[in-house]
Amino acid sequence: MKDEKQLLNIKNLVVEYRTDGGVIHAVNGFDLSLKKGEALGLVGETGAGKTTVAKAILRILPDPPAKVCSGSIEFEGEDLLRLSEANMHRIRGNKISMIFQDPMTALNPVETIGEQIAEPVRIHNRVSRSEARKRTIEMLEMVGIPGERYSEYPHQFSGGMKQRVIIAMALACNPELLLADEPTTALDVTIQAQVLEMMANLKKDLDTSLILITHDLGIVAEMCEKVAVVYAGEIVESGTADDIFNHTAHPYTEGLFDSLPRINSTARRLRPIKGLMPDPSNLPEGCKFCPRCPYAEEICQKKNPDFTETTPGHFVKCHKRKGDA
Amino acid sequence: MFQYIIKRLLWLIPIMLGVSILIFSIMYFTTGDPARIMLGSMATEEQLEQAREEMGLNKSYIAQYADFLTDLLRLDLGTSYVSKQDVFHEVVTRAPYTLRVAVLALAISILIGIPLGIVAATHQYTWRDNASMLLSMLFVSMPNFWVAMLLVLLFSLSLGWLPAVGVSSWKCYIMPCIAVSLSGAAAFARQTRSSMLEVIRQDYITTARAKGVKENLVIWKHGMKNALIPIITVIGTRVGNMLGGALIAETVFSIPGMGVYMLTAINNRDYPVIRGTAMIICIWFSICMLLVDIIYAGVDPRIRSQFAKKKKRG
Repeated sequence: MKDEKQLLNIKNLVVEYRTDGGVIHAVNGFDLSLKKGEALGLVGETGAGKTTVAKAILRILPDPPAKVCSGSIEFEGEDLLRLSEANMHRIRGNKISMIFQDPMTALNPVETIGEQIAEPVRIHNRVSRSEARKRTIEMLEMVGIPGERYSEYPHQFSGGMKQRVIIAMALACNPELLLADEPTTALDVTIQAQVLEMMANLKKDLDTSLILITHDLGIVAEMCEKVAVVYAGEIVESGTADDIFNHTAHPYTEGLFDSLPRINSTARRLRPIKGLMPDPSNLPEGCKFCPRCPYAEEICQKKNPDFTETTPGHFVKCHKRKGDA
Repeated sequence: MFQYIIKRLLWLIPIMLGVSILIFSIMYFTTGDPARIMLGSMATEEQLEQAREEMGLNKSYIAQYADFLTDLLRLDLGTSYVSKQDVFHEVVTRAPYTLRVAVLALAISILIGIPLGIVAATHQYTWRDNASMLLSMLFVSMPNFWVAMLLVLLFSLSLGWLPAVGVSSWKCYIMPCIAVSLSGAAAFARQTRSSMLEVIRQDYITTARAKGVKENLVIWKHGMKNALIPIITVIGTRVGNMLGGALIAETVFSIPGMGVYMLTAINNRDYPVIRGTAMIICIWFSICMLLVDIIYAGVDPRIRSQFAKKKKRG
């Protein structure tokens, strides 16, 4: 089937930050694949390496200190890590674009929002200024901002509107793949709902694939067909939303669900996951989650578990579940 | 915006008034008798007394200041005690030389300093960064007049490429301008480096990269415009220094500008000349500061919007 074609295929990606204080292992052997039109939720705690993966895809990690050590990122059959910088310019903002976490700082304060949206259009499509302007106004109106506000500056917009401007900017060239890095974290709840709904509609209309980075499981349930749970730079569980939510296999995912407040639960206290994420400059030898895992056994301390398929499409990285399956 | 400029220009009046009082008082209370200097040590007491009477030096402090001020309002800066020339006329013929040196030096220091700072910031902690910062350290440590003398030694005396004194051709301006510009270039380089370093770590720079903007454009278009505001401040404050530097360079290179004129006047206690030149320099400095503020508004829309509060919103 044509639709089954892989759009993005990340294999064994390793990213390190090399600082004076030592090497920080941000991403350790990351595998991920995404089909056209699919939405994938990348879930995990702060510092798990989610943003680093997204920036690695676009090759906009700050170098130094960040270094992609090994692995491949295949996009439409080409390895992005091997592309020349000039070819990479053609992909950024055009075929792959990114929505950043903090709308307050992600817009250039001294340029009008219109110019900022029109910029990728002009770079990638070789159109005249007036055509780019027309397209920009179209995009602005699509995200619910009146076109007259083209020549206003970021400081004249509220946070929610700025995020919409950023979304318009990311979608201006009809990208194949949209990387949304916590697009709603900085917004208040009512605006969150608006922005999410808008993204869902745009995704449907433009048939864009989406990687949604978040620590909010509710958003993932709403938006994504596939979910990957990230812990200490590795994917510990991945599968369809149904697999993850209803057939949770990894103890960490379990812990994530347990630490969510539930309105109809009689429990008086939340059950957070005990302990902290391991120091990424000093990762444990065996399973990275072992020190916090309630089911940990001897083998967990010694050997990093393999990523195994329990049911078709549902992968888990855990010794215990491997036996169960 | 227009209103703001008018307001700022009106502010010049109290500023000039304050400066006039300061200059007048300093000259009044410093020792030295203009009559004695003018007539020499051979003059008799009667001659001196007559000269003082003519120059109005026997009047009270208030009366003398009042005379000065009324003349000033008529744009009359008085006549020199020594040369008997009209001060305003002298200043008008001499000012262009000084301004030429100051403005050219400012331009040179911007052209050297800003690129140096950008290179240092975009290649932080590499040899380029170290080299630029070493260079600017060197520039800022060398006094203007000393650089001027070294330049004369090298290019006039040893190599004979450039004339050491005078204003006969454009070549004469090369050395004075370079001598005056170096310390400014160093200041601009350091300021550019630090504000550029801050800007290129901002999220919107990453956004620009993620849009597929080429690296050069990221730095020059998205980075520079944001880094410019502190740089403009430093440029504004250096305008005064450049003028001071130009005055020194004039002495070294015998340029008939305001510097030499003012220096001789101070030695001769030639009050009208001192007051006149100081007032002119003060006006020039105030106007430069106004220009800096206008440029701010041009660069940063957030500042611009403060001036246009009453703008209608649709």
